[in-house]
Amino acid sequence: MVLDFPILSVLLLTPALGAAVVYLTGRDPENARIVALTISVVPLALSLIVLLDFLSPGLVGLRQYTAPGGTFTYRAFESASWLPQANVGYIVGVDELSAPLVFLTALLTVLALMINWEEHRRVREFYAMFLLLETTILGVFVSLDFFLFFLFWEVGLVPMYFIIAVWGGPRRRYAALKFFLFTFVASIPVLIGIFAFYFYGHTFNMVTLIEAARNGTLIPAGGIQNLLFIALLAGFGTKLPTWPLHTWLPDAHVEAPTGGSVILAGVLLKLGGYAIIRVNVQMLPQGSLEMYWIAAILGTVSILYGAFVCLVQDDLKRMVAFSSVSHMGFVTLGVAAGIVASQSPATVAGGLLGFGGAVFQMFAHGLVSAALFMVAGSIGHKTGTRNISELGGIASVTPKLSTFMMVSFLASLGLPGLVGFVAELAVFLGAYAAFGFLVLIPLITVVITTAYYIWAMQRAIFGPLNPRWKDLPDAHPHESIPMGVLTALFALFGILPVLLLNMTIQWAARVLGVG
Amino acid sequence: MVLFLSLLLILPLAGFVATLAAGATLRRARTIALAFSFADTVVAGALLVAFLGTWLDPLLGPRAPYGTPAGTFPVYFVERYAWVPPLGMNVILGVDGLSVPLIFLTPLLTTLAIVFSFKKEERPRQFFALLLLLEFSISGVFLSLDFFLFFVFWELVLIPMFFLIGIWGGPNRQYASIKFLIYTHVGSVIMLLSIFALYWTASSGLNQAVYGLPDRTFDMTVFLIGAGLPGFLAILPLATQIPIFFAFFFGFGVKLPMVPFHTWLPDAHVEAPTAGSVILAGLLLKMGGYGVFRIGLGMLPAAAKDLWWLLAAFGGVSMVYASYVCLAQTDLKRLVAYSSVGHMGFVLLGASSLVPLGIAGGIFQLFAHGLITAVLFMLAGTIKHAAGTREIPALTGLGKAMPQFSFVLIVAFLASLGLPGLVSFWAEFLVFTGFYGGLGAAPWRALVVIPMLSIAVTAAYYIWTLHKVVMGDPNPALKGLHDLNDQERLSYSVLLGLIVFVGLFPLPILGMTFEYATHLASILGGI
Repeated sequence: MVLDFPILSVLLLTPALGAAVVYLTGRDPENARIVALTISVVPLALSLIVLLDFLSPGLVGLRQYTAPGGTFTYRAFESASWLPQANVGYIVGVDELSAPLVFLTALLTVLALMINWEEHRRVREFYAMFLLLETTILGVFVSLDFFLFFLFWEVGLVPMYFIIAVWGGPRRRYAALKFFLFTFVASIPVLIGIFAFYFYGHTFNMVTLIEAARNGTLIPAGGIQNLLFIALLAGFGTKLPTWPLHTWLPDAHVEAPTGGSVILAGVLLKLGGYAIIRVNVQMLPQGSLEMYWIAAILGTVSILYGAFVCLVQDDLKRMVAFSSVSHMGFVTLGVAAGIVASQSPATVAGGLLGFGGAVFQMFAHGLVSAALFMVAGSIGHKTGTRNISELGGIASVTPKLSTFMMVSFLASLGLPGLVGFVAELAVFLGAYAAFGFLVLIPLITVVITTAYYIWAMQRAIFGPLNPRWKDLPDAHPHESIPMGVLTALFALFGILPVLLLNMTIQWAARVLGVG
Repeated sequence: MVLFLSLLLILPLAGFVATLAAGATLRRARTIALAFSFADTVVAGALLVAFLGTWLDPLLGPRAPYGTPAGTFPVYFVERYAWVPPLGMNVILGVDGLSVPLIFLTPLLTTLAIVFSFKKEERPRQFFALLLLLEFSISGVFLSLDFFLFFVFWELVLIPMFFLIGIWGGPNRQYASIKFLIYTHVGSVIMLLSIFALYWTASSGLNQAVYGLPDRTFDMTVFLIGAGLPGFLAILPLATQIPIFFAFFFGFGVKLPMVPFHTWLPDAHVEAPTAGSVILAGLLLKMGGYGVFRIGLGMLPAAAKDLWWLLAAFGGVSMVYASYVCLAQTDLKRLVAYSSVGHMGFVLLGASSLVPLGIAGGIFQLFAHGLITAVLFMLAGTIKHAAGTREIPALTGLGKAMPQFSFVLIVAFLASLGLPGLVSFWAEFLVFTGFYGGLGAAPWRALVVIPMLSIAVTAAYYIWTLHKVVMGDPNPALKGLHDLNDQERLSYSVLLGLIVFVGLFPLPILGMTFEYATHLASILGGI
């Protein structure tokens, strides 16, 4: 069966239109919540259909497109003219890199709407903002035209800014302003990169540019490519975020409302990783080969730095924020490892594993960090504090919440059987293939990560019950359902990573030019 | 010859006379003025539609390029009337992809300014009449294809604006209006020298080449068409073009305005009444940009190619300097005034690229900025009226006290800082892409990062201002804050609607701009 239906445009437009609907019908807060949740299920269903077409090719029969003579195939492809005089078009499509991320975005939006059920200030605007945010994030993932890509990349800053600034914590105004200006300035090198691509390629069509780059006919190898690689790494790396451009993240994450942090950590950060792979690796192949070591170093430092800073955090949410910095370092490291290891036949298998692992880590970390922020948010909301030192032994009064916290922590530290392990193992194997015994340096993090999580767990959940919390309510359904869903997915993808890992590794092979 | 473009002049002039004659009370004056201005908007809208498709062909005839013995030229609906034929002065009107968006903008903004000023109690008859006179003169500038006529209209613009600022303006209006008049008048006089230089040196030779007539003439088409002819440089060599270009550049640069000739603008804008500021920022500044493209690039291409770096430098300096000055402003209206200086820098940067992308971006910036700055100045007017102050430190928590106002403020600020999806982003994007790939820029492409930094500063001051003004709690010292009234809501809705719509679907306007830009680039590339 061939599905000739503009599924991606519907996917994109539904949340945006839904935001308007929520605003118009949501004068009664309960109404707003239900309408928003119902609307958010639509992109989730559509993204699942799209993902299924990748997992089981031909099952759904989405429209495919490969550029003439090209290597890469995109599905659910749509193309319409927008400004032909400047070679700007409305072009959307997904491939093995973006389809899981699209699904992740839709899923986490639904769960974020649920976790925010108790928000009572300006409910309809709040839910509308989340739906708008969903459109902009989905837009980045599905865009195959640079102008469209940049449009969604920038516009995404606005709803996030308002979510933090209006519904956030005590230092929300500072955090929101910092977030907006930091990431806005970081998009300037991105824009310059886009100009350069247009100058050499005479088009904004990313499909064409990727194929041209693969053939070596886009940007001449050497100084220009290296410079662009660094500039774009800085621009995209700020979103990732990589050390040292990460300083907006702790404040933004801590001050954002729970649902905001879920989307911020779960999906917004993945925009950076997605862009690095889509643009830096796919459009600057020779530059990647020469400059991969910068990514490797930045990745390793992020991994280590993030982990060490977590050890000294008392604020649970801040600890989780820094752990995000640490875990996103795996993406950078895996990408770098994949680039260099795929050059030699002895290490190519490891390299593909590293690269595929990096892509998988984006998905895995999206799930895990979403759960972590949900837990931190719930605890903060119920107790009025997020300080680990003030909690203590709450397992006895909040068994559900504590279980979720434990499982999320274990997933994040990479317990085998849960999704985090697969991603980290793959990246480490790739790093070993690429860098040999240097892999011991980031490997230390495993110990540190385990340390800070187990220590936090022990102080917060286990041990004698702090009498302050003896009447603490346990997780409500609107909290336990999202956390339960995520926990199930940890287990599913932890035990059956092949569901996604297979296709990402095969795609990685095509990207890195091996078979 | 269809009496079409003349309507765009007759209507506002008739409105001016009618308002003076019959506008004894506020109600009558504003109704008459609104009627004529709205009619003018409809005609301008028809002109826009005529450029987008063939639906109005039964009424207006096919949109055919202007034909001359030397070839056709993409100027349309040309009307010629004799004025002082022995001196080569005639009334010649014509439009193309450069002027049509601006001609549409003129009555649109005037109508909205009239609506916004519906409660103008002070001397309404003269106020509305002057607005219509202004509409007449500005339209004349954009429509003129005769240098002398162009200059007459250019100068005529100054008079109603001088009175609008001087009589209905703020506390410092006397100083501001005289400064405005003298400054821009000096600029125009120097421009007049250039016009005479062209008249005396090159007009007869080009007239011969294009029309086969040996007389000297002020006819602009002679220069526009001649610029594309092979013998152009023999008649108007580079050495002659350069001083003429400089003089024109000074005149247009004062109007745009470009740093360092911008100092008339903050005072004029801040002291002008809201309707005056809207037209000043939304239209008068565009006259400068129009001149750069029409005359600077269109008639002196060799000089433009030689001096592109001058345009780029002034543009870049304006952008960076003005955005930094904005960071320090506490008066909302002054902040918007300086941001206009910065945004007009884009126009010069786009012109300096000499390629279709950059030129089209620069022209589109004129249109986009016109819409956006109109909203911004209206917002300044609204808040002054509602809160009694424009000082940003005093205005807090407006998100709670005036939600509709805050919504318009947020969208307008985001539009002005160039958020993709809104109209200004297309202009900025095309200007930068064009500059990067520009004809002259080869070793210095990466310098594009300098004006791009101004975007970061622009975002900073807008988001910071938004932060302070919208968020937080209302200032208890501000009494009697009320949200938008009907006239304000109408004006804002129209403008915001256009900002969003053209932001998503720019092709109608950008299409005709590109048509002009491609033609211009072919002349620039050819010489």
